[in-house]
Amino acid sequence: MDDFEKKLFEMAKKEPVDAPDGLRARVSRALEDLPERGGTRVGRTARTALCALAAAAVLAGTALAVFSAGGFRSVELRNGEEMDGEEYNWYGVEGGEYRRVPVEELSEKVRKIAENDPVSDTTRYFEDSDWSAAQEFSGVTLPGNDAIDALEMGGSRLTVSSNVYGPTHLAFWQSTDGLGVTVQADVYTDLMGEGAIRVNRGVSSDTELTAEEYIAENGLSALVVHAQPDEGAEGTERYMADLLVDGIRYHIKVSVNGTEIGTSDEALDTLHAILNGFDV
Amino acid sequence: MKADNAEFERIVTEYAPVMYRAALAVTGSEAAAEDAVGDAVLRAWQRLGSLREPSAARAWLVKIAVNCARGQLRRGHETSLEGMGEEIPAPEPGRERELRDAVARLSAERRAVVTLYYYEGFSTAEIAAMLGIRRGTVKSRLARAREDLKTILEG
Repeated sequence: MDDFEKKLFEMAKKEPVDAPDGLRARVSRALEDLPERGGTRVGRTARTALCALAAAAVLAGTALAVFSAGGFRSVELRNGEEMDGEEYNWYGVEGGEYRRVPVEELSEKVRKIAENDPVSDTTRYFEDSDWSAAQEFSGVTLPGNDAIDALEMGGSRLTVSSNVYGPTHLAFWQSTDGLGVTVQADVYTDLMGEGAIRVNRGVSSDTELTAEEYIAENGLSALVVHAQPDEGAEGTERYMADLLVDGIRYHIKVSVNGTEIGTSDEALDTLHAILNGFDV
Repeated sequence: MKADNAEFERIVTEYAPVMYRAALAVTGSEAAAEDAVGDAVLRAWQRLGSLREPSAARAWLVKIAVNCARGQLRRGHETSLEGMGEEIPAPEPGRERELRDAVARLSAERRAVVTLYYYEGFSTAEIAAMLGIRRGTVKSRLARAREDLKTILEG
């Protein structure tokens, strides 16, 4: 972050944009006018079922395996989902055996962040460092991975999400300089609700998604998604893996960026090496 | 998210200001931003089942507010994308607003990413998801916005 960047953040903090007095009344009116939710729930159930069917169709041949891939209870994948008049392709993972770390095990620094700025996401950057500094800062130790450790990471960050009671979610992120490889590890705390955790990842409709399960040499199962932009479309081809390792959700992305990763095969090999590298 | 009316009301009340600021960045109009928040409350209620992760409520509501703000623009609410950024709000005595005045000069697209990034602290990935654009596009808009702001603020 250069000096001007820091200056912008500081100025923004000093110059808050206040919401107008009328907003509270406007929101109250909207809340009073809300319809009953019964009808809405029926609609959502039907839509979810359609998504599940679409996933089964797209993942034909591996559908059964994919539904338990990566340690997640279910996986959905859909190309061509319309939302607010625009089309998206997306996949989602839901449920699984997540570890919920007791808040008392987190560092004082992380607990202070949540205490000082509740109901927010706060990010700390660790420039020119892999995420070992972020782990030390947080008090959380992530599963070992020789393949990840062998990569030269250009920077890392830690985002602490909190509710009114304290930290609920820690997102560790690191990448190589050219963003050829990015790795994110999501750790939840015991303040996170008991419900199934779901994550959706979307791309624009000009990038097709396909998925398969990969069983690593260490026995870990991973959902591997290939994102292939249409010819002439913006964006880069990439392989992404989602999996649970020791109850921590990993999202690993390897992009064919033309510098660090030259070809599609190289990207997939790199991803497989990382998945095989987990010490479990 | 399995939430009752009270829980929904709580998160909406909590995050209405940030929803408003995001909508204002998109529309450039206070009236349109308020209307967008009103629309967003209804839309969020209808789609509450899609919010599975309570910690994501803030980003989820802002995304809906941004979409509703775009809807306001499509319906021609008082302003247009092309027309924004030319009128600079009058200074408020006793309040620092140097950056706000500079941001108001930016194009609507750049103003939106600057607001969500610097004022609201969202990551580029979150902004990309909210605006339905690529993360690289967010980064390039931020880079260009920074150049514009440097020129405006430092000459």
